[in-house]
Amino acid sequence: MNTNSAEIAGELLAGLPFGLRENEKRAILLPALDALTRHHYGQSEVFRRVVDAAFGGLKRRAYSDLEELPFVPVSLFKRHELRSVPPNQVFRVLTSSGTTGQSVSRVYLDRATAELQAKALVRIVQHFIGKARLPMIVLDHEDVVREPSTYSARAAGILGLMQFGRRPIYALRPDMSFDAEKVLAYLAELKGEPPLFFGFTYIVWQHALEALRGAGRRLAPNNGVLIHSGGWKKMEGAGVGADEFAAAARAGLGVARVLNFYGMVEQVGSVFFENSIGALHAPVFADVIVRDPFTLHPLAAGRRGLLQVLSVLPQGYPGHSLLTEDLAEWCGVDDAAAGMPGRFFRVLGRAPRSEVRGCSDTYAQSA
Amino acid sequence: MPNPPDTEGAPALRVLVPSMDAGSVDDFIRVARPLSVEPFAPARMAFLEALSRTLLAHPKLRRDPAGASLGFWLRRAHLAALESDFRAQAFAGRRVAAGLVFHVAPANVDTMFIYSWALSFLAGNSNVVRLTTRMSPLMADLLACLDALFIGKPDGCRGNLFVTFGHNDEVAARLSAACDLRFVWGGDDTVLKLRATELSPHASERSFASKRSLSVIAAGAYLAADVQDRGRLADRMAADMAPFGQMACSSPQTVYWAGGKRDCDRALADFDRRLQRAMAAKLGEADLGWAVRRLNSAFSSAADGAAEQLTHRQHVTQVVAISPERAEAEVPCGVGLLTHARVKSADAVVALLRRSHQTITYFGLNDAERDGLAQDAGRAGVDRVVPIGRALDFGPYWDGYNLWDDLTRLVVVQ
Repeated sequence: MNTNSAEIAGELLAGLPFGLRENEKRAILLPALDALTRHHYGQSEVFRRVVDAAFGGLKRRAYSDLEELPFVPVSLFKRHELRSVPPNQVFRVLTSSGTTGQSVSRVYLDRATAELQAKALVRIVQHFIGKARLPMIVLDHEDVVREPSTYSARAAGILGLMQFGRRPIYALRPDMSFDAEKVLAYLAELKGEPPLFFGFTYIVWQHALEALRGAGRRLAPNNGVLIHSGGWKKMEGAGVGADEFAAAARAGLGVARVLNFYGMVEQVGSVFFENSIGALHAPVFADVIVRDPFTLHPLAAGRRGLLQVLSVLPQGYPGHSLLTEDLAEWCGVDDAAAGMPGRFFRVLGRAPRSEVRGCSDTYAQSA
Repeated sequence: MPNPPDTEGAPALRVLVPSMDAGSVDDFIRVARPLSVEPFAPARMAFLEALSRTLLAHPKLRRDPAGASLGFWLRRAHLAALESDFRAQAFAGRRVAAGLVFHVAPANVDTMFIYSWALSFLAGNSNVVRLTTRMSPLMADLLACLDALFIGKPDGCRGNLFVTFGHNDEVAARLSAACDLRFVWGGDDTVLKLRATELSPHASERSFASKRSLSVIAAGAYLAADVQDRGRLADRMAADMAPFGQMACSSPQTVYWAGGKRDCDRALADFDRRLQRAMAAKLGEADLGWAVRRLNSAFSSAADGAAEQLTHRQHVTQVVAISPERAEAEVPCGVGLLTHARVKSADAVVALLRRSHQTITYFGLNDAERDGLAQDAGRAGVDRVVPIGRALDFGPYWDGYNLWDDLTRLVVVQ
C-alpha cells in the first residue's frame, strides 16, 4: 500500500465529490498519481515492463502533468495479471461480463482498494440521491450475485449500489421475466417513500421497460429514482437513444429522476455520473484525458479520440491510468452550466474491432 | 454480389460464377473433366488477358493495390513469361493438364483464388474453386468481373466453376472424390481437416499450410544508402505490408537488422519515419480499428516482457523485441505492426527458422550472402528469399513446390 497516495485518496474522499475546480483538483491528483505510478512500477512486473517499453521507463523527476503519466490499455486485463499486492492479499477477483467468444478481464482487488472503491461510490451516489438509504428494487435477478469469490461486473455493480438501498428485492426472475406482482406488492408497502431502482441499461430496457410497456403497466412509486449504467451499444442496436430510454423509464417505472453513469470493472468506484447537461462528469478523485488513437497525443476539447481514465482508487493493482477502447470527447471544464466544477465528457461509442483474417482462417472455421 | 449468410452449419452450396445456366455441381462434375485443354491454349490466354484489361479498367480494382497487382500479373507480357517458363520445364515427353482441380481458396488473401485458378487454367485444367463464405468487397468485385467475361465467352472457359459453401463435409467429399488434384490453401486447420477427406485413388493433393515471413536488412548497407534508395526501400516494404492487412503468409511480421547495435538503432529510427510516410501513401486515411489492434498487441508484448521498446504511430507500430527468439515467438498482429530485433549477421536468422517459415525478404545483402542464406534458410524451412518489395509476387514455384508439376501429368512418348 502506498501511504502517500492512499492518504491523498482518503482526503479526497472525505471532501465533496465534486468540490474542486479542475486546476485545484489536478494539483492534488498529480502527486497522488505520480506516487501511485512509482508504487506500481516497484510492485507490478507487468506494469514495469509496459512503462519501460512504451514510456522509456519511469520519469526521474516528478511528472509535471496528468497527460505525461504512463497508462496501460484496458485490454491488458484480459491476458495479464495486473496486481501490486502478493496473491494472499487478493481478496476478490472481478471479471468483466465479456460477451461470448471474447476473453474476460480479471481485476485483482485487495481489501484496501475495495474499501476505497466502496467509499468513493458512496460519496458520488449520495451527492445525487442524498444520504437516506432508500428502499431498493434491483432490475436484475438474484442469481447474478451468488458466485462466491469471483464477481462479474454485473454483480459488482449491483452489490456496489446495494449500499444505498434498504430491503432490496430483485425484480426479475432467473429466466429474466419481470415479476410485476412482486414489485407492486413491495411498492404498496412503502407508504409513499421513494424507491431506488438500479440496473444495467440494456437489461432495464429489455426486461423491465419493454415488459411493462408490453403489459400496458405503469408502476407509480413516489418520487423514485432510477440509476442505470452499462454500454449503449446494444441500445443503439435496438435503436434506442438516451432520451427515449429516460422517457420510457419515467413512464414505465414512474420514477421522477433517471441517473446514468459510466464506469468499468477495471476502475470500480471511479464512476462518472451525468451532470445537469447530460455529459459525464469526473469526480475529485478521478479525471479523464482523450488521446489521438494514432499518435496517443492528448486531444483538445471537442476532438474525438480514445478515452483515458485516471483514478487514485486503484492502490493494489496498476489500474490508476487506463486507456480504454471507448471513443470520447471531453466537452468542457468548470462550466457553470454543468452545475459542478471539473472536467466533463461524452462517450461516443466503442472503437470498431478490426476483423483480421489470418491464414488459419479458411474452410475449417467457416462453418 | 450479396454477402452469403455465414451461419452455423449452413451447408448451402452456391454457384458464384458463372451465374447463368449453372446447373448442379453434380452435373458439372460429370462434364468438367473432359473439358480440360492443352496447356496455354490461345483461347485461355486471351481470356486471362481480357480479365487483366477488365481489372485495370475497373474504377475500384485498378486503385486497389491487390486488384492492380493481379491485373498486372494477368497481362499479356506476364502470361507469355509464364508460358516460356512452362515450356522450359525439362521433360522429353508431353505435359498434359492434370484434369479437374478442386481449389480451396484462403480467406486472408482476397485475390488468391484467382492466382490459384489462373495458373491451373493456363495449365489447361478444369477447375472448381471454393471461396470462403466471408466474402470481402474486393472478392465480390473480382467475381463480378469474372462473371461478366464468362457470360461474354461461354465457350472459352467451360469447365470452370466458382462456388462457396459453408462447413459442409458432404460437398467437400463429393468434390474431393471427383477431382484429380486438390489445391488447399491453409491455415493448418483447413489443411488437416481436408486431408481427412478422401480423394480418388488416382488424385493427388498440394496443400499450403499456415506460414510466416520475415525481413533481413543489413544495417550498414541501409545507412550507406542515399535518401532516394532509403525512400524506395520504404515504399517496397509498404507494398509488402499494406495489402490484406499484412495477413498474407508472405507479408513480413518481423525485421532483423544485421549489424552492430548503434547502426541498427540508427537505421531503424530512420526507416521508421520513411515507412510511416510510405504506408500513409499506400493506405490513405488510417484505420481506427487497426490502430487499436496494433496498440493492444504492442502493449501486450511489452507486458509479456518480450518488448524493450514500442512506438505507435499513424500507420505503423514498431516493437523492438528483447531478443530475436522472442521476436519470432510473437503472434503476428498484422495491420501495420512490425517486430524488430538485432542480429550480428544475416545468417543468424537461420537458427530461428522452422518449416512453417515461407519468405525472407532482404535488403543490403550481396549475392554471396544472399545465396548462403538461401541455402541454410532453405534447409531450415524457408521457401523464398527475395528482395523487399517482392514478398507478394505469386508464381508457379510456391511453398517449395513446382506447381507446374502438380498441375500437369507427364506422358512418356517414345
